[in-house]
Amino acid sequence: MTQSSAATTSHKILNTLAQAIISARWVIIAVFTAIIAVAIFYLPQFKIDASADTLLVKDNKLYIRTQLANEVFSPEEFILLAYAPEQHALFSDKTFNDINKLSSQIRKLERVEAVTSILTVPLVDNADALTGGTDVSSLTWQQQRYSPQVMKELIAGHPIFTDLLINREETATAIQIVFRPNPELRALEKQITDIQAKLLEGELTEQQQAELAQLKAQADPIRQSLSEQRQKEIAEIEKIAATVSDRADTYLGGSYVVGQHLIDIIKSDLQMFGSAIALVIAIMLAVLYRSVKWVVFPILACAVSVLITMGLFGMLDMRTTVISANFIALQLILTLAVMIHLIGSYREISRDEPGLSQRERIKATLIDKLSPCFYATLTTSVGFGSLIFSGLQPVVDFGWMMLVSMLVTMSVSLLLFPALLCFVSKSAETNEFTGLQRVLERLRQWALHAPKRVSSVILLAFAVTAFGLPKLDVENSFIDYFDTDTQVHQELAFIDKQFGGSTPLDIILDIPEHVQNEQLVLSADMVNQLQLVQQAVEAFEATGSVTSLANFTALAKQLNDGMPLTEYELTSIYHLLDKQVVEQLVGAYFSAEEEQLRIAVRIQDTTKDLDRETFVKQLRQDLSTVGVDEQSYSLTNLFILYQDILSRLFDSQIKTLGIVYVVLGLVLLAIFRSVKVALIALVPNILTTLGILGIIGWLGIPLDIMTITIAAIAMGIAVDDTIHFLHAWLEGAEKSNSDEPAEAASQRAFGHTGLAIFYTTSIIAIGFSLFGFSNFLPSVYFGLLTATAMMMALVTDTTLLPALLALFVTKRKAQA
Amino acid sequence: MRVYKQFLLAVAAGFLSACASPPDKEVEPAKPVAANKTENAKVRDLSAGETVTVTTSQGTMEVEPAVVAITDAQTSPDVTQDVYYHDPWEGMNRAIFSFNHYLYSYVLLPAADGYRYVVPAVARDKIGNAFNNIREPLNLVNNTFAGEFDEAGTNLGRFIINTTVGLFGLFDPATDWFDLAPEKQTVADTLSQHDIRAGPYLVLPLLGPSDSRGAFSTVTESVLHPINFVAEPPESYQLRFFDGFDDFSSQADTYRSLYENAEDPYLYFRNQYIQGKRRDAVFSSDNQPQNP
Repeated sequence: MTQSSAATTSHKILNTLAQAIISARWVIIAVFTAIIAVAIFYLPQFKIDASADTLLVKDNKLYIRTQLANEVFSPEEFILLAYAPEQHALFSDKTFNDINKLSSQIRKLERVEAVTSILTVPLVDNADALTGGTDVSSLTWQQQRYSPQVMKELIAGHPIFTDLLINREETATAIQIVFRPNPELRALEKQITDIQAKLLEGELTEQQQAELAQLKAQADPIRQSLSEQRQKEIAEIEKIAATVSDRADTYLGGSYVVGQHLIDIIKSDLQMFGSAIALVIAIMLAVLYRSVKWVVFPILACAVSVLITMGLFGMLDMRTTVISANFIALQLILTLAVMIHLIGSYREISRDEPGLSQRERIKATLIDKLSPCFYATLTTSVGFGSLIFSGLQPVVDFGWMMLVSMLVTMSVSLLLFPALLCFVSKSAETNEFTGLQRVLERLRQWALHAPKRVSSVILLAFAVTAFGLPKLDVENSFIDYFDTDTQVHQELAFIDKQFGGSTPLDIILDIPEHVQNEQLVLSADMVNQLQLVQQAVEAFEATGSVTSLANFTALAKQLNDGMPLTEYELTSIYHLLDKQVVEQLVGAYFSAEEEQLRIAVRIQDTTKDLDRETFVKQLRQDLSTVGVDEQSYSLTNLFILYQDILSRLFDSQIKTLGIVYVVLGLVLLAIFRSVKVALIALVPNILTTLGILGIIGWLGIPLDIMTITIAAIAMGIAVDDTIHFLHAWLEGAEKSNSDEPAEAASQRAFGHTGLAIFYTTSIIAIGFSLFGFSNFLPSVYFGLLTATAMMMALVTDTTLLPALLALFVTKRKAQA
Repeated sequence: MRVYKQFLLAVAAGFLSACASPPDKEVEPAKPVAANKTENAKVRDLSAGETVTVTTSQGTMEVEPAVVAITDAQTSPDVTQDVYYHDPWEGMNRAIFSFNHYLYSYVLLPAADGYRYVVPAVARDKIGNAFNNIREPLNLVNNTFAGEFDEAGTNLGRFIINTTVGLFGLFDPATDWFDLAPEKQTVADTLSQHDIRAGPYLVLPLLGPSDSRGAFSTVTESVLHPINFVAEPPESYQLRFFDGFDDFSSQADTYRSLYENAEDPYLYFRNQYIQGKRRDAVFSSDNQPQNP
C-alpha cells in the first residue's frame, strides 16, 4: 500500500502545481513577456562564431606551442587566387597583363600588404646576382619585362615558387595575397601567448588568469571585426577575379578561405533549412491535427523557446560554433516533442470528457503530463550534459548550450503554454487518424503476445548494426565538408591539388648545440639535417608544398651551376643581403635568436585515402630515421591541432557515453524507484546510441568533430520517448485492477502517448530529412542521422520496451 | 709597382716548393676549429659532399647535399679529425692578413670607393670585360694543357668575337649573341687537373687568400699574362694592378661586410677559401666523374 499512498501524495503535488500554473497565468504571461523583451534586447549580441579556430582546444600544450612558433616565425597570413587560362598559353603577354591588372586592383584593398605573383618576384639566373652589387629586387618581370619565353625558363621548376605561384603542370599561376597583421591584435596575442606559455610548466596563478581573461576580452572585438573584414575581402576579391572570367578560370583558396566558406554555408543553411523545416513542421501539424490552434501553439512555443535561448546566449556571450549551431534544430525538436505530448493528452481528455471547462481540461492535461514532460526534459538535459565531460572544448560548449536550451524549453512548454491555452475557448477536438491507431494497436498486440520474439528480432537487428562499430574511423577534411558539385569545393580542391595543399603543418627543428659554430649562421650539418627532413617529408603523397631554408639552398645550388654552396658561402650571402630582405626571405623559416628552423608544410586534404593518424605516425618514424630525435623537433599548426582533437574523439566518445549511461540510469532510478525498470528503460537508449554509431560505421562516414555529437543527440531524443512511454505504461498498470495489468498498461501507453511519439517522430524525421538537400555534408549527416535516430528510438520504444516490460515488470505483478 | 712585383715574386718563390711536398710532415696538427660535428653519419656524408640513400616509410630516396663543408680532412688520409684546415703557416698568414687588412682599410677600400664614385657602373662593367678578354689567350693555353679542348675552342671563339665585334672586349657578344659562356682557366686549375695538390693555405700580400699552388699560379701568370705582350713594364704591371684593383673594387663592400660580421675574420676568410676550393674540386664540371 505504500506505493499507492506515494502515488496519492504525488498526485496531490501535481494537482497543486497544475492549479498553481492555471491561477498564476497572468503572472506567468507577464514574466515571459518581460523575459522575451530582454531576449529581444540581447538578440543582436547573439553571435555565430563559425571560424575554424573555434574548433580548437585552446589551453593545451600543442596549441600553445603553435602560438609560440607563430611568434618566432610570424608566418604571413595569405590566400591564393589561382588563374588558369582557358585558351591562351600560360606564359603569354595576355596572362601577364591579366595578372598585372588583377594584382593592381587587389593591392587597393585596405588590408592587403603585398600582392606577390610571378610578375613581382625576383627571378635570378646566376649566383653572382646574390653576392655582387646587383639589386636583386630589380630582377622582376615588372622592371625587366621579360618575354614569355624567358619567364618560362626562369620560373619552370623553380625551387621556391613551384606549388606556390605556379603549379607543376604549368597550367595555372597563382597570386599570393598577403594581408597586413593587425598590430594591436598581434600585441595582445603575444601577451596572451606569453601568459599561456607558463601553462607549459605549471598552473597559472589567479592573477595571471584574470589578466588572461582581460586580454582575451580586449582581443575579442578585434578578432570579430577581422573576421567580418575577411569575409568582405573575399567577396571583393571574387568580384575582381570575375573581370577575367571570359578568358580564364579563377580559384580562390588557402587556409582561412575554408573557414570563411564554413561561416557562409552554416549561416545560409541555418536560414534556408531553418525556415524550410519550420514550414514542413507547420504543414505536418496542420495535416495531423486539422486545427489552426495546434499549428499556432507548437510553432509559437518553438519560436519563443529559440528566441529566449538566443537572447540568453547573447546576454551570457555564449558563442555558437560550427557544432553548437545545431542547438536551434535540436531545441525545435525537443520543444515540439513536449508540445505534442501535451496536446495529445489535452485532445484525448477533451474528447473523453467534453463536459469539462477549458481550465479543467488544462488542469487534467497537466496532471497527466507534467511529470513525464518534466522528467523527459530533465533526462534529455542529462544526455546533453554528458557532453560537458567530453574534454573537447567545442563539444563541452555545446553541452552547456543544450542544458540552457532544455531549461528554456521546459519552462516555455510547461508554464507559458498552459497559461496561454487558458485564454483559448474550448472547442471540439478532431479525431485521431484511425489508420495510425490501427498500426499502433498491431504493434501493441505483437509486443504483448510475442514479447520474446519481438525482443529477439529487435536485438538481432541492432546486433547487425553494431558490427559497424569497429568500422568507425576518425578523419577530418574541411574540403570534404562541401559537396563535390559545389563551386566552393571545386575552388578549394583546385588550390589544394594544384597549389600545394590546404591545412598547414609545421615542423620546428631545434638547432642542437653540437652542430653550431660561432663563425657561421648555419652549419652545413644543420642544413643537411634539414635537407634530410625535407626530403623525407616531401616523399609523402599527402604533403603539398614543403618550404624551408632547403628551398633556398636548392635555388642557390641551381644558380651556382649545380654546385652546392659551402657553409661559409651561405653565411656570407646571409650577411651580404640586406637585413630586411633576409628577414623577408627566410625570417619565416629560420630564427637565429631562437636557434630554430621551421619547415612549413601544407597537407593536401584531397589526397585519396589519406589516413591522417598513420601519416603523423609515419612522419614521426621517418624523422627519427633521418636522425632527428624526439626532443629536438615539434610538430605544430592546424593539422596537428585537428589531429589531436580527432585522436581524442574516440576516447571522449566512449567516456561520455559511459558517463551518460550511468547518470541516466541513476536519474531513471530516481524517477521510477525500481532498479529493474531503470535498467529496462536504459535498453532502448543504449541500443539507439550504439545503433546510430554502428550506422555511421557501416556507411563509412568519418567520425569528426561534427558527427561526434550525434550519439548524444540520439540519446537525448530516445530518452524522451522512453520516459513518456514508460510513464504511461506504469500509470496504466497501476490504475488497472484487472488480472491483466499488462493489457491496461499497454493500452494506455499505446494510446495518446504512443500517438504523440509517433507524431513527433514523423514530423521531425520528415522535417530533418530536408537537410539531405544541403551542400554542407555535416548538415546532411546531421539531418539524416537525427531522423534515423528518431526512427530507431520510435521502433525500440514501441516494440522492445513494451516487450521487455511485459516480460519482466508487469507480468510479475499479475502473478502476485 | 715595382715593390709589389718583387714582393710577390719573392713570396711566391719561397713557397713554390711547398706545392709538391706532402701536406703535413712538418705540420703541427692545426688547433681544432669548429670540431663540433654531428653524430649523424648521413648528415656527415652530405656535408662532405656525398649523395646519401635514405629509406623511409615512403620508400628509398637519394638525397643530395644542400650545403657542403669539405675541408682538408677529407683529402688528407692521415688526418683523423672530421674538420681540418691545412694551415701550417698560420702565424705568418695571420701577420700578412693583418697587413692586408690595414692596406685595404686605409688605402684600397677608400680608393675603391673613390673609383666607384668617379667611374660609373656601366664603365666599370666594360673595363672588367676588356680585362677578361685580354686574359682569354691565357685561358686557352691553360685549357689546352689541361686537355680541355672544347673549352679551349670556346676561349678562342670568345677572344675572336669579343675582340672584333665586341670592340676590343668592351662588350661580350660571345655570351649574349653566340651563347659562348666564359671558360676561365688558371694555371692553378690546370695543375689541379694534373693532380697537383693545393698545398698549405697561404695569404698573399695584397692579393689575399690563396695556397701554394695558387701562389705559383699567380707568379706564373704574371709572366705569361697576355698583357705582357701588349704592354711593356712598368705599364704592364700598372695594367695588371689596375685589373686587380678593378676586380677588388667590385668586392669592396663584400669584404667590409664579411670582415665586420666575422668572429675571427682570419679564420672566416681562410675557411671560406679552403671550403670553396675543395668544393670546386669535388663538384666542378671538370671533375664530374668523381661525383656522378
